[in-house]
Amino acid sequence: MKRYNTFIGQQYLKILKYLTDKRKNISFDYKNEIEKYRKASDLKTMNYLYEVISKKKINIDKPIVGYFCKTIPEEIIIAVGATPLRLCNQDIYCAEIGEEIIPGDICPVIKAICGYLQNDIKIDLLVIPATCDGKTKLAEILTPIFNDRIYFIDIPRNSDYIENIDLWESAYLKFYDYLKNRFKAKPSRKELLSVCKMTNKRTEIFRKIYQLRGEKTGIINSFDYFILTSASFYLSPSDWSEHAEILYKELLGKVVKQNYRKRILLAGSPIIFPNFKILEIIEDSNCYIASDILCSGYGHLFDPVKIDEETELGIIRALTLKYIAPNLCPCFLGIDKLLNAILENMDKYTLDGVVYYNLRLCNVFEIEIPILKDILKNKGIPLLVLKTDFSREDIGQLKTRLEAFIEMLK
Amino acid sequence: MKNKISFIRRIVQIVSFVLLIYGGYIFKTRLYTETGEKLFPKLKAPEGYISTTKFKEGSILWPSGTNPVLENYPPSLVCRFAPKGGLFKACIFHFISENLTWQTHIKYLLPHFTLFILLCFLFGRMWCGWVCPIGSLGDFITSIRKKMNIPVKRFPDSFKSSLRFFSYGIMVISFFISILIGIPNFKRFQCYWFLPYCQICPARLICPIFGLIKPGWKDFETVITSMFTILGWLVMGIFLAAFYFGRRIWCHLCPVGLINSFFNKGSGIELKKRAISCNKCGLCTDACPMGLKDMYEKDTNGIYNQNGCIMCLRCVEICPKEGCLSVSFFGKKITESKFR
Repeated sequence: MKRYNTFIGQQYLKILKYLTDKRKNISFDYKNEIEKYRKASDLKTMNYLYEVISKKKINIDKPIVGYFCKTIPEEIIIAVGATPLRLCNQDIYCAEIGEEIIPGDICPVIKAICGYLQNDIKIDLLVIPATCDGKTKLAEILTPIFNDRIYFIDIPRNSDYIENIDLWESAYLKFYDYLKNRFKAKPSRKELLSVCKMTNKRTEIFRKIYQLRGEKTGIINSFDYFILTSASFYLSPSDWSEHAEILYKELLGKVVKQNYRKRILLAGSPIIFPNFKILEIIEDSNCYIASDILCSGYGHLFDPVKIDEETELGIIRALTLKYIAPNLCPCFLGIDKLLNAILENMDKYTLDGVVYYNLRLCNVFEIEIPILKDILKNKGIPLLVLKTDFSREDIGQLKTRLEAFIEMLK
Repeated sequence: MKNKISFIRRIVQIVSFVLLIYGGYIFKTRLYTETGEKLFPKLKAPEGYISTTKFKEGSILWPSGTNPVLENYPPSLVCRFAPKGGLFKACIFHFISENLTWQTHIKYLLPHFTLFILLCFLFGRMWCGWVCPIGSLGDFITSIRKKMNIPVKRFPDSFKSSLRFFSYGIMVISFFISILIGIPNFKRFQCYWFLPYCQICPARLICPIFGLIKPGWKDFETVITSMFTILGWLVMGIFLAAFYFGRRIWCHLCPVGLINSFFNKGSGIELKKRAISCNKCGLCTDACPMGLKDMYEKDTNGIYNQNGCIMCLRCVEICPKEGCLSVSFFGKKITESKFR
């Protein structure tokens, strides 16, 4: 693995020391928020998941492989005997720290990740995909801290199967070989298959919950749902599916009062735990997120590994078709997939409108909006774009816009 | 169950393999009744013309049994050279070449041909994917490769279309030769050039071997028979290699499959796609044993019976989106893709 510019180290470490001192003075536990969301929940099983989120429970006896984005194959990380940990972060305080290192008009998620990683150095390997520009450059920015503990995956940005399948396959194969060397593991085909089975089980249960949420208005509130999906970042697939199964059973037994809340589809930028601002606004304004296609929940859990040929290469290939080909990230070419996903959900769950959450300064999402607006207008589907960042100042304004939109739906 | 369609297909393949290869052993008597004879007249070579029965043991076109159980020609590769005559008479390619040489009157051919077209319209190329014995054997060879952890070799589209072109070539040339040797002046060439494709077809060697009968695999009597013998070995080698490395790549070349493929569009079995559900993961194309790309590439609702499609329904089985791909039989939905 090529080392990046380590010569900036000295100056950088000084800044780092200053930052870690600063970080000690801020509280990070989000107790108030968690209490608030937990109170809104009426499901018993959620308690454990809230605990997972607040304590960031990780399996520590195994080496930890941190990664970003949904394009990194968890299965092969688990197969070599490591614990995958998705580090996608939307911590407001971490973003403030990240601001010191990379100031300017840069996506707040990148800043948050950067800030978060400054003293959480327990991670054995950091895997960074070349999905968006910010993440690509993170590989260089984080080099002084992680040195050779960074692995960079170059993923071609055209998510067309026929064009790029060979490139994806070789990128994943390289990554797999690297992991095998690094962790001195030689997983057999059977082990790989059993891991795939485990994640497929997770997908199965997630799909059940996803469908139930779409069919019954008000069965699960959006905080619980996103806590559930965020918990999958920390929990192993088998643990997560165990708890999700219990939750699913509880949901099945739950009696929902008939209500006429407007049902909407949430699309756009990811929503990860502390940054539940949008969800708060939506919950307050009497409409129900019946379905979502965000990469933090749907994108992370919805697609299964379907293995055609059970050879080693066949499994790797199946993984690329799980992680890269169907993903809806605007970094990749292929807005038709996003449209299909929106239209299918609108049709399947009879939704009233689409709310597109655009995290400010995440440019790729913004570029997509005009095309989306145009096409959805032709199809007669109402669309509201909410553009905001982590700060809580514009809550009132967003609320009025959302309420006006819901009024329009009637 | 996870791979339900594949499982059913495997069973159908095994049953039809046993029936088509060992049919002559299983049904010791002919099931060909009088009414059957009236409906489907037995086709015989006219006086002075050659037929497979006239070849002696050891020569290329020697059939081990003269009387098949049924005198029909289904749209699958049922070989004339199956042991003890086999269950059915022959494949459609054999049927056409033979009768072109014999110049049989059309009124005898018509009932056989009508049955063939009817069966084709019912199931399309499903005969290739589910019934064809040498296709089943090929699938078995492919499964050995999978067990040995060797990845599949994928061929470019241009190669596949050139195979199809080649297949047309084989068809045209062998029919042309068959017509030519039927002309009285060229009668003396009949014993060498009769059924030109059958002489190199891998099924001619495979079917007797599986019935524990020695096929005419080394006939070096004259220059032409030695040429056909060596050509037969070559094609056999290509056949095994094609199935070992490239799944069903052979089926692009098979002229019997080519004739079936003419009826694929508009057949009773319909492969449908609901474009809105597609998440463009490419699994349908990745898993397609014929390597067809339409299902992935096109974004319209409708019927996707492509010429190459052998209706193995692997795409429907593997599609991870619920209700995206479906199979229907004359408009009635049989099954659709679902996750698990």
